[in-house]
Amino acid sequence: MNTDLTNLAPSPADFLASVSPAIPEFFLLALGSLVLLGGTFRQERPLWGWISFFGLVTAIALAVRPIVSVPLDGNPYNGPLVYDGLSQTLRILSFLCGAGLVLLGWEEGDSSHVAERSALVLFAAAGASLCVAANDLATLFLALELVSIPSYLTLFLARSDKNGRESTLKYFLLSIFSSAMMLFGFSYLYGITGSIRIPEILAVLAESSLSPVPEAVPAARLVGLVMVVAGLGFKVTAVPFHFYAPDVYQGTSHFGAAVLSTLPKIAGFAALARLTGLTYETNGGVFLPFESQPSYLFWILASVTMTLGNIIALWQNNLRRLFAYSGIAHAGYMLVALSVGREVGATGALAALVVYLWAYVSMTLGTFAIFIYLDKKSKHLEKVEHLNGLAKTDPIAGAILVLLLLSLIGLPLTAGFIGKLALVQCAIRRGLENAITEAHPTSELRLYVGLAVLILVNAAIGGWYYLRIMGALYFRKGKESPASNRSVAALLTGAACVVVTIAVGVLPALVTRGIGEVPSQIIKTNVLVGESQDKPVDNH
Amino acid sequence: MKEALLALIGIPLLGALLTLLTARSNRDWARTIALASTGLTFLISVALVLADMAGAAGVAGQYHGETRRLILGTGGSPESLRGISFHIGIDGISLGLVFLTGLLFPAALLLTRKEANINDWGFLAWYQVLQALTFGAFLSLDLILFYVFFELTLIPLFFMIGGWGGSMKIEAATKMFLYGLTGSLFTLGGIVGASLALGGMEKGCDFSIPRLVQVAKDRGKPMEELIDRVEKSREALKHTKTDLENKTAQAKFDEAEHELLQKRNAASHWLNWQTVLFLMLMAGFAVKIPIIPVHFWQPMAYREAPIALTVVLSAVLAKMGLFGVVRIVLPLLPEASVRLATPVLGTLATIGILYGGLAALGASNIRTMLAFSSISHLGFCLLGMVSLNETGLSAGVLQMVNHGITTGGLWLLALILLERFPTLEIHTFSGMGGRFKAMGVVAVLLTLSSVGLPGLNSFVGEILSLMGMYAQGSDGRQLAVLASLGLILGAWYMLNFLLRVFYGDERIPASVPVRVACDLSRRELSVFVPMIGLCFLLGLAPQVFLKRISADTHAVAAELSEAQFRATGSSHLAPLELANESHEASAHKGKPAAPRKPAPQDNKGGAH
Repeated sequence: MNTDLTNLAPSPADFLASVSPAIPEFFLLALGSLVLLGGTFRQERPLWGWISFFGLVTAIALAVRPIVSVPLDGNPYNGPLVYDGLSQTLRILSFLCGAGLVLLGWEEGDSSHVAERSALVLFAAAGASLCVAANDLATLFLALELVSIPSYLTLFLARSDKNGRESTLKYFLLSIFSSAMMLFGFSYLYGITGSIRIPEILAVLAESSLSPVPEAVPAARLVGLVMVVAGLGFKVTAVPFHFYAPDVYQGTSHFGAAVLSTLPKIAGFAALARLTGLTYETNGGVFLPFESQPSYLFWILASVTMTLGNIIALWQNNLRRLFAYSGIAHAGYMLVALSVGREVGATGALAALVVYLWAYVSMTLGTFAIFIYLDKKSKHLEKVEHLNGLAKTDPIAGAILVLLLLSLIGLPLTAGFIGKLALVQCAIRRGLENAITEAHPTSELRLYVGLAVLILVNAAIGGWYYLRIMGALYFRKGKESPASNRSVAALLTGAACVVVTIAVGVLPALVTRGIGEVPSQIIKTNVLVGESQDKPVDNH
Repeated sequence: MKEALLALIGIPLLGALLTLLTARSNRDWARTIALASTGLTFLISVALVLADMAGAAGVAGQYHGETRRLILGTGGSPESLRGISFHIGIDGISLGLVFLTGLLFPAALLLTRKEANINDWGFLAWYQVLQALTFGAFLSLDLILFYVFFELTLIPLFFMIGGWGGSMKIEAATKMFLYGLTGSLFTLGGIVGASLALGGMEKGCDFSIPRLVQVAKDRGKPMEELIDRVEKSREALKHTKTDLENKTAQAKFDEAEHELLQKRNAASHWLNWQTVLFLMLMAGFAVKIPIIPVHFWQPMAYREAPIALTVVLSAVLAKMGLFGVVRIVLPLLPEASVRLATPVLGTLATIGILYGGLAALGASNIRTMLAFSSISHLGFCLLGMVSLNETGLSAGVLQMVNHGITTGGLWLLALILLERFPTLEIHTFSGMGGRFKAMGVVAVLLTLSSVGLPGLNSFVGEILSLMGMYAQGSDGRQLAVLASLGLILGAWYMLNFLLRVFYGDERIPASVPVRVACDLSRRELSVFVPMIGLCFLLGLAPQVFLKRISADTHAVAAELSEAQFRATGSSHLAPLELANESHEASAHKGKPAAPRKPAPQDNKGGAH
């Protein structure tokens, strides 16, 4: 057990080796700085837009074939960053999302801040991508801040009226407060375990939970856990840390809402998956070892979050407010994976989380893309009524929006369906597994089958308000407004999101490849718990 | 055969695509495409029926023209998503429904005038998509595939009702969609739960219907051997002489008994879990049929939908729910079906028969009347199915086809009336039969078929349903007697309709130009004559069809009767403590996870 921070410092060669796969992120950070610097000289939309967009495309190309280099001691989980299946799929998601956001920010607002806007998206995308790979608490915190700080600035740039200022300030204050809570939790985790490396923390906690006199530790562990979950719950808008979302979304522009509802959530869920040990199962079977407390904590969070989000969304008429609540509801679905994860076998739960995260990001980003497109076109899009008759006045945008809504409802052949299917499956599975292995059904059966049913009930409630929008699009009469300005970039982003949604819906294996596996070429050495559980590693 | 089944799904989809690409400005061309593609599916489905009749009698569990492609299941994919395949095939149960789908989609389109508002490329494209999805649902042999088709039908229906419906179309479409969505989401949960419980959790998920049915069938079997073993070891224990012998015999007995106890426990958990799954699976099917407490979307949707769509909604799509019952619920969950189907579904079906009949009696509009009469008639199908014996199951399947033809025909009659007159209010019509002779004859024959006149098709289905139910114990007898009142109600409202619309002084709604109000055209006769021919064929020679379905319904019925035997046959073991235990278990109705007391181990010795 390391009790001294200096012991953690690896040798320079080791450090370089473990950081080298992060070249795409460093590239994005450097490019972002350049764009920011260049923006002081010239403010040209196409120039900075194209540079940022191609920067992200390059980053994706670099990330698809990562440079996997093994730390000298051979353990992939010893560096500050870890590149396993989870980081692989989610970093591509972050970059794709960043590319979409660059396209959306292209014609947003006045032209005086176009370079800044693009640069901030680059930073935030790099931050989210680092966050999904972060393997120790310090890296994790820095990566999360790298997502948060650009989002404050994005909100600030998005709207300068009174509402915009209010929402910026609200988000800023609550966000730093949540960061502080998370740091507080981190300090507990470090204090108990003496390490900032997540696998080591989990291993030490696992040992301590096995020791005969763990009396002193549990309270501290729980404080740490609750604080960390509260801090990250803010990022993923879990109830009761969701209060900012509706106000902030409503107060900012469509673009600001698009940024807030995507990148921070990717980062938050990835961080939660790492911290609960969901990703480390194949590497020695270490789960966050609080018996079943974290599981139940996430159970409560998930059920309350999805139910509240969906029910309050029923009454919303402002589109961004509605999608804030819809985002809360979808976060609730994803929390199910974290609740279930501990015992179902991380592969299932983690895959469900990843599929749903892809689904959520593509659906939400696509929806906001269409909103931005329509907002540009008619100068005004705030309420559900403003979408009336869209299918007649603009069939293409209408069709894209309907496909996204069908996915949000969760109809087959879309990512929303396959995500819900995977979540329901892993929840029922967890309930059944215990009922079958133990001779008598435990409360777990009722608990987790209940959770699965709750997902389904919520999906039905969700259908209600998405259907209202669909009805407005197709069956209500709207007035044709003269098209003043068409944002082709936004429309293309929306179309691309539909493509992703359907691709994931039909072939979810595309985004779950390699999840729960350590990268190839790495021979697994199980130094975490000291047990030698050699499992075969698939090479492919 | 294989290609024919794929063509059934593919041709309407291609037609829809063609409509979308080439017919957006040309109504005639759109209609031609739609008629051609649906007409082709009709020819294929007729060919399928003929090929099937010519072939040997069906074998249970054998599907013709199977196609199987794994969709999800490549290496490295997550466990939780493995094993969804595109698996289609046809057997006796689906044959009739496929034929109905092939018959009614083109028929409704053919009878609609060219000028009708639904001859629009949008509606016609959705219409063809709907047909493809319907075929898909009836043909699929994979749970998820079935669900995908089943659920996706909501989308075309939503757009068709909402876009081309009557004055309250948006409410009707929304209501239909939300009811359907809510119900089928529960069905999804049931499907996932059933596949996990039956397909095993280690190997990844299995969604193949034939394989899961086999697993469900085998579940209860080892139990009988064990019961035998316990009995034998008990006998052996009685006849022991020496101490040592006694000891070993006792040990053997204890072991067998313990094993049986565990099996019983597992079985009772499985039974409780089946009950939950039964309710979840039924939620979606009940909405689709619809069964009484969840039928509220139906009258409105049938009334507001464009009438060509109502024809297929009532005659074909409603069968999807019943098909789900007979294909999925009964064979996958035999124990829960034995326990719940007759008392719960049978009661609801009977209530539906009576309620639908009474409501149809009070209806003032032909559409509303037919909508409620559908609830009543589908009640008979369900009643037959939930009687769980071969007679009833065959009758249920047969009656689905009969209802499709008869009620489908009546809806088509309403369609051609609506083509001629602005309204379908019953009181605006009188004495139509005097003026329109051919229409009158068609109406009389269809009405008599619907009423259940011997010699016509519905009679066979309804009587067999009631007979099946009657054979199902005392509960069944009561239900059958009550349900037979529905026959009287049916005769009452249908003859009432016939009397008021087609007999009496001639009066047609005002403001209808005479040239529009004409008798049946040749085009219309070409649809009605074969349908009435089918009514007679199925009424006079039902064996032609019953023979075809009996192999499949026999398999289901045999499985269910085994389950029933297991459920009631356990009382053989009254002297053992175990028997009480299992009685207690079966008393825990509707509580899936009721914590069970561990069996008192020290009582074991008391058995000898």
